[in-house]
Amino acid sequence: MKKTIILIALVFSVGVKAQIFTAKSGETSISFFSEAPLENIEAVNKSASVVFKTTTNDIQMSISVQNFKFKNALMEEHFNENYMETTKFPKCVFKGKINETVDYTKDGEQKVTITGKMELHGVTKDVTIDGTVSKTGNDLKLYSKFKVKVSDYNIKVPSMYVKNIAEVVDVMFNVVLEPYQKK
Amino acid sequence: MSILKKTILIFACVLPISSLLSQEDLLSLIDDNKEEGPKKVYATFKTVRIGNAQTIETVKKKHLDFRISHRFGNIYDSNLKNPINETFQTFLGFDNASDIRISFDYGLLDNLTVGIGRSKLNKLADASLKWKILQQTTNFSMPISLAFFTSVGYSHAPTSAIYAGVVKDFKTNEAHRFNYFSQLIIASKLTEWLSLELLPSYMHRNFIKENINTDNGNAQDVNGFFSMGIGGRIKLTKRLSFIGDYFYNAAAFYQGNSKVFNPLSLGFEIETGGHVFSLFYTNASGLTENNFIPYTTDTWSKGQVKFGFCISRTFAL
Repeated sequence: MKKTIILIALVFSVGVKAQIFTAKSGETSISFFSEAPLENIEAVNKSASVVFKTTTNDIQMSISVQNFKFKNALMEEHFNENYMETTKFPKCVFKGKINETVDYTKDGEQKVTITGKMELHGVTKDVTIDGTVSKTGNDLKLYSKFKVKVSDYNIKVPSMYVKNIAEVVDVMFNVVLEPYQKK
Repeated sequence: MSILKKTILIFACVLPISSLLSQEDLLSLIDDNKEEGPKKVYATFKTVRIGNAQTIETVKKKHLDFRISHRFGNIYDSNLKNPINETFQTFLGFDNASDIRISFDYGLLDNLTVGIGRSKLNKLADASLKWKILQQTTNFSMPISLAFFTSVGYSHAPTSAIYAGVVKDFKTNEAHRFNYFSQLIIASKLTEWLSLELLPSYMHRNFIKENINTDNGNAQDVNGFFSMGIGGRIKLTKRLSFIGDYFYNAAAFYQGNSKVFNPLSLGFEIETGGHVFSLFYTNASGLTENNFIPYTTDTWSKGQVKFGFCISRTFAL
């Protein structure tokens, strides 16, 4: 009988663990790119928090805006200070679901669409983005490239800079996930 | 305890956990054990100077800050016979140039800036260094930013100007043309819209003329003296700020002196992305510490204030 209890407990705990995946540290990058006449605007964020639940296809991300690193430090300061107002809106949050049925038991790659809500610069919008889920061994990879319209999120570009700063920015997620371990 | 009870107990323990993992709380799973370190405060000020005073800010690595600064003439001067007429004649002082300065500051590292400049007043060439030692964090675990600024000035004014009014047979010396300035800059971005700083400073001039402050027990001018500067910025919008700074000179010669005063500047600053425009009024004629700290001979109380501006353009090299 004790064995049964242990078994039940095990099934539950294992079940819970194997369906939750989180970002592998150092192997996750969220980046954006925007072509501009003077100098291309690009930045990479390597410290996003991502949680993915295979049973419900839920995917949630939280990104510290100040962790976007630019090559040009002055650009980084202006990005935080003038456009993203990072002290007021420190995080960008995405909560969504993969629409397709994905078989997480087999290795392989599958194109998916993800629908959810993105909160950025204090504005929350419904978005649907295309992506790819691939599984190799214990790791899941999630890749997506989509466009964000700056004005959708109430990010104001002064008229004199409209030529320098693109209206639409390419955003790229490249996330490697591993089974969640409670630390 | 029966098996059944134990099983129920286990279920009771496990179920809340699984319900915790409903959609809303996925992120809270990891946010609890993902401690992000404190973040560094950025943009305590928008540029390297307030009006007269230095700010805590350095030029970013591999960037060059090109600055053109100007101080016009006094808008009014109650010492004059017909001040109103003079104000009108010089168009509020715009016909005169108290000082003009062109300078270049380059970021060797994000926290180390070197600069050179040349001012009209006293024909002063200067070289400077600013090193940011501490950077404030957003959670105030480090409540201040700290920087060290130092500059050396060399006046290539003609000998006759350097020694004007000094006894004839005075032995000239190249070293007399040099002066030195050092200061600590202690700054804090208290809120998103309010930044303040303190600037304990020391000025040393190799050569001074024998000046006496008759208003204060005939205190003599000294080669070296301390000052305390205070400066601040109040952000009105994302790109427009109200700025001000003031220096208090500690030496007895400067106390209650009716000929030499403490410099005060008040005005606005507009940041446009690549440029920063500082527009303000000040009683100081000089544009560098080596000039405006010891040689401010005008006072706000007599209307002797000048319109001053600085245009800063930063280039990424």
